[in-house]
Amino acid sequence: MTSAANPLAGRRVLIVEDDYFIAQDMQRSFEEVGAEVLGPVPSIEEALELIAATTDLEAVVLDINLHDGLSYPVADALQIRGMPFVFTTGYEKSALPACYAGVRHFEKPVDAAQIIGALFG
Amino acid sequence: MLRQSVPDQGEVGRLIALDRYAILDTDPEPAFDDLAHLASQICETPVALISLVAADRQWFKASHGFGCPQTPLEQSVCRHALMQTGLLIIPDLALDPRTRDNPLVVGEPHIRFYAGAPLETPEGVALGTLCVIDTHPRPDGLTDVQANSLGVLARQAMAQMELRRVRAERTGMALQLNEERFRAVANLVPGFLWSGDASGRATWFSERWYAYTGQAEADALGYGWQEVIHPDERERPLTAFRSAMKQGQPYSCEYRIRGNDGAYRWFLDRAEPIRNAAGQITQCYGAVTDIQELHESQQRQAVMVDELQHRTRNLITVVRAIAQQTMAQTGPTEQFREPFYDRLAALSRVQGLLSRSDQEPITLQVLVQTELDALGAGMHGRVTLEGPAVKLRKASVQTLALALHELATNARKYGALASAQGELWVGWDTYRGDCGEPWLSLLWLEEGISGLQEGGAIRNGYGRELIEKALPYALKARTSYVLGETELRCSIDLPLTEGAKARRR
Repeated sequence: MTSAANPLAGRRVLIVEDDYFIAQDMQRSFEEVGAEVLGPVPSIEEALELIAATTDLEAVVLDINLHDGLSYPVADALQIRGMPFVFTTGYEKSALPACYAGVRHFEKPVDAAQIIGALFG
Repeated sequence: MLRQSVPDQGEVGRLIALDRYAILDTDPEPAFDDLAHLASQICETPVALISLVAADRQWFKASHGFGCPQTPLEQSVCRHALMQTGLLIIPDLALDPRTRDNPLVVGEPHIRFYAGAPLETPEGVALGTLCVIDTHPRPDGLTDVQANSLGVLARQAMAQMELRRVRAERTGMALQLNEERFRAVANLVPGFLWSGDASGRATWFSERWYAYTGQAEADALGYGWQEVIHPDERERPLTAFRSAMKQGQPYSCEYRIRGNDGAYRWFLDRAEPIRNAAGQITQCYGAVTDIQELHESQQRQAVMVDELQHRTRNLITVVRAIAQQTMAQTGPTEQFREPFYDRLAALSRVQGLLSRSDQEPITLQVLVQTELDALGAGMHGRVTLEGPAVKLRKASVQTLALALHELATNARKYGALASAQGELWVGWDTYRGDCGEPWLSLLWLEEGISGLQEGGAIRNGYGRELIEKALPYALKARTSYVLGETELRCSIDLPLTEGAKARRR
């Protein structure tokens, strides 16, 4: 396969999403365009562990409302590392704290292609 | 020798002064007893009294060698002492025209000698005497030393009375100050404060009660406060209060109170009983807080939850319609439609449970029963549910409900409930995990499955994926799904609290 057909070939993306089927869908969409998906993981705890343990991570798709709480600690860790990420959530943009005003935000149900465009376009 | 019925000027002055000392009918005090005792020793008389002359009697603050605490005024010798300055000495009471008819002289105890020194206030008002009495006449009266000492002791008795008065005045002032402070604080509190007895009769309200309700004190005290309670809740506070007092519990009640503008606001009334030394509830202090805004916001919230619930279900209906329309264009729909609608219906049911979960916590029993009920009637004889009441955390309810839906539908279509003799047993229990955290263990057991069909392996893999993949992923569950010749055994173990360590590969 050529890199033109797989624009994200070899890019490592972490998906943080607590609903199994949504996570599966998203994983499939990313893998279809050649990305290597880490996770998916459903919790803040596991997301933070993975981020700390992975050096060549290139982007993160972050659900906000997880079973173990709001994923802002993960967002903060990513901002400190300067790592690109987007939020996916059922909340409206206005519900987010002001410090994340600069973060791209996708309301559910999300279209994986749009997220890919935002992260790597 | 009858006392005049209208008191003269001097008597009025004495009665007013006596009142200021507030000493009549008080308990004996050693300071006064000692002085009387000393007087009797010095003057060598069997009796010594500190006698105060009231309007209709003489009353003894201290009495040494005399039985009665008081006598009628007619029997008083002391009152004669008040009419002169200095010591009154009557060597023989039986000879003196002022006293010879006195019942105490004529009869028991036959007193014959009297010497009294006036108790004079700093303003010069005589209140009574320190007197000594003997049952034998003493023609020589008292010696100079005795007379002088009696005067000194009388002044000492007066000094004691003065001390008493000043001390009481100070205590009174301190009480009044405390009262003023208490009122100031009571009126600073935004709500109302009250006190009452154990049956709910109000004895006091802070000023704000009167300002808010427009009631006068006489209207509010006793049970009058009930007048301004909203008719719908009028009985509520008294019933709750009495029941709380009966059980010795703190009281708490919410009800509406009418303001002086005629409008009602919601209040929270709370009270704690106060017990006496014997442990009986003697009175109660209460505080009433305005919770109108809280109440309104709770109501708004309830409306919002309803609205959200409505929207969620509406959304599911819209999803159904969209699927229907899409299928109409894309071809074979029947195989798709039924399971899809069933799953949406399960999702819709669980939204209903979740929206009410603040009032009714969702238990596993409810969740399993809800899915089995949705299969329709006629299953009850063949289904056994067994397990303790287990409250589920909200985060686990939806996924678990969808998994139970798949199991139930599968049982009805292809499993134990599809055959004539099959039985379904669902049992659950809780246990402690490695770190002491609570886990739920559920076993879904179908027996007597006949003519096993291909579709029975939980339709199209969705149900199986839900149980074997989604539950472990989202809820950290451990699951197994084993289909035998005639039985199906599915076990689901999941942590009941957040924070159980993941065991993910």
